[in-house]
Amino acid sequence: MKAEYIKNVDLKQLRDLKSSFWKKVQANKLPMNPTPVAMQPTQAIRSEWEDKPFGLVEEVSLSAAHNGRFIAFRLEWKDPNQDAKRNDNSIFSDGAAVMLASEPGAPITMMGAPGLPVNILYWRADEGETGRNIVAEGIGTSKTVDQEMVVCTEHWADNKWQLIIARPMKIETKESIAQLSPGEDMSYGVVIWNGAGGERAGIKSYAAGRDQLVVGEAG
Amino acid sequence: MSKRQISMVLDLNKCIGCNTCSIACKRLWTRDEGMEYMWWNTVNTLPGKGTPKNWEEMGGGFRDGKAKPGHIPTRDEFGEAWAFNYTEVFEGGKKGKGSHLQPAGKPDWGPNWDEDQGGGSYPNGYSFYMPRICNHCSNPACLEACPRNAIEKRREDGIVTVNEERCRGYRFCMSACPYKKIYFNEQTKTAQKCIFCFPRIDQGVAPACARQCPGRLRFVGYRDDEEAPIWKLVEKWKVAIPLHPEYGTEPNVFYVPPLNPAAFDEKGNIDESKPRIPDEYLISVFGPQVLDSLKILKAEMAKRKAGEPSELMDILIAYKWEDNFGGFDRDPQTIDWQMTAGETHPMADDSNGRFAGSDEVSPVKIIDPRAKA
Ligand code: SF4
Ligand code: SF4
Repeated sequence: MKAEYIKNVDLKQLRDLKSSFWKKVQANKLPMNPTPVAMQPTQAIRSEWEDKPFGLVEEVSLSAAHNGRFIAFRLEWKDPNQDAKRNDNSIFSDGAAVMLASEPGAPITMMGAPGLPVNILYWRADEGETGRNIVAEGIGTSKTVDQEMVVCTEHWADNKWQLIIARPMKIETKESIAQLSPGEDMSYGVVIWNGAGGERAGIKSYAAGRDQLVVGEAG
Repeated sequence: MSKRQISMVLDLNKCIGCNTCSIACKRLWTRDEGMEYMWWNTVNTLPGKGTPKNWEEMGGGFRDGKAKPGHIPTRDEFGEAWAFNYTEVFEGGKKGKGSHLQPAGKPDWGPNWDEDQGGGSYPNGYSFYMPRICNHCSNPACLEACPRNAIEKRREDGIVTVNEERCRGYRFCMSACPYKKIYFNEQTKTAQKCIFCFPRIDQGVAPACARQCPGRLRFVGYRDDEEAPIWKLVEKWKVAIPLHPEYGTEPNVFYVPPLNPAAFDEKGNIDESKPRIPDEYLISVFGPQVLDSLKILKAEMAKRKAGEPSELMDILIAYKWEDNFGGFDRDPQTIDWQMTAGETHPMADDSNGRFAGSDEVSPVKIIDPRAKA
């Protein structure tokens, strides 16, 4: 899939769900699957979820656009419940993330591997606009590197979430995040947590892109 | 595995259910926003539903070596911190009418709701108090469950703590802990639990719940310290036993079980052949070892009654209170907590308790519990 280059838009427009350019950017429907129970990192999680359904979100629509400085991912999926508030111990928030390989060959489905980090642009309904820039080198290793660079716009209506996750294409940092330049490509994936189903951590739906994400060139 | 393991023994025969321990802990550790409903130390009446309500039926822990799925206790099950009409009672009230102190709404559960109800029926009713903290288990189900390795067992003393920098509020620990001793803080969005007062332990001071207990029934110390009461009660005399050993987490908090008086028969005479608390009940709480423990206790009591010496009785009587603490007997008032806690410690600037002073009861000073210090 391609992150289209859009001329003459600023970050505000890139982040706006109503911006007209989104109609021209192709949306890719990705089938989603529950992460395998065997891949869950602890016995307690495996035994709790071996007979319990999860990965409730079955499909996500993903599109991407950039203006040379910022990149925005637009995600849409069906969810009959808006789980944004935690008002009890047993209530969980909806969440979503876009995963990008920071290094060529980083395994998206495994959340990276030692020496092959992935960069996760993360949103959680109860944290709202403030997204997280996360790096992981394998399951259970995710680390928030900042809570400034990733910004989100969310909207829930008609049993559907619409979400934009945006970030500067390049960030000066020692952390192994994905640095994006026009003309480059990388593997990618999407993760969604349905809070109403108790989904959190590795209990989620995921989709690994079958193609590469190509960052479109100007012109 | 930790190098050494710190531990607590509680002699249930001396607990009067006063909850001073709960308050000592509350004052020290759970006064911040988001912690209102937390009681890291609880005291309930057994038989009873406990805190959280029906916690023994919530699963978690290990059975046959395998993690058993558990339930996350809700705030209602723990019992909410009720809001009281302090302003109305102390400063206002309705004209010409008195107001009495009462919680808002109509609460139908709380952390010690079924106090003194107990079990059995007249004339053989029975009950005893059960004070509980986190067991700082040797095989902690909470730690195993966490996918972020946010729960740590300290190498030096085996105290189990939540690293709130790593915790993302997933609450797998809450379903996994079979003792239901982990709370979720909605403000910090992290799990929080008893820390065995480790900043005090680091300074040689026993936990606040132990020092404040007027029943002098809490013993503290390393499990392998053969000179101190813990080792003697657990290993040598084998009278201190864990709560629900079948949960498989290997607790490091132990109980001297309640001595069981004889039951009355139909005519109202004491029947020495029948215990008031049914053996099956005690076994369901402490496992089969409870009967051996009670036998040893009774034998030593009899010895003592006959004028013979008994090391076990001397320990349990706790002639010298400080001897209960296996060397963790420093007076917290003698420590400059501001300095030792370090300037960057998040709690160092709380001028009204915690590191500023000690847990010892201060001269009368009434504070509205809702007001932020
Ligand atoms: S009692 Fe529960 S919270 Fe405490 S160490 Fe054991 S399993 Fe963990
Ligand atoms: S302070 Fe001591 S006597 Fe009072 S309830 Fe707690 S353990 Fe029991």
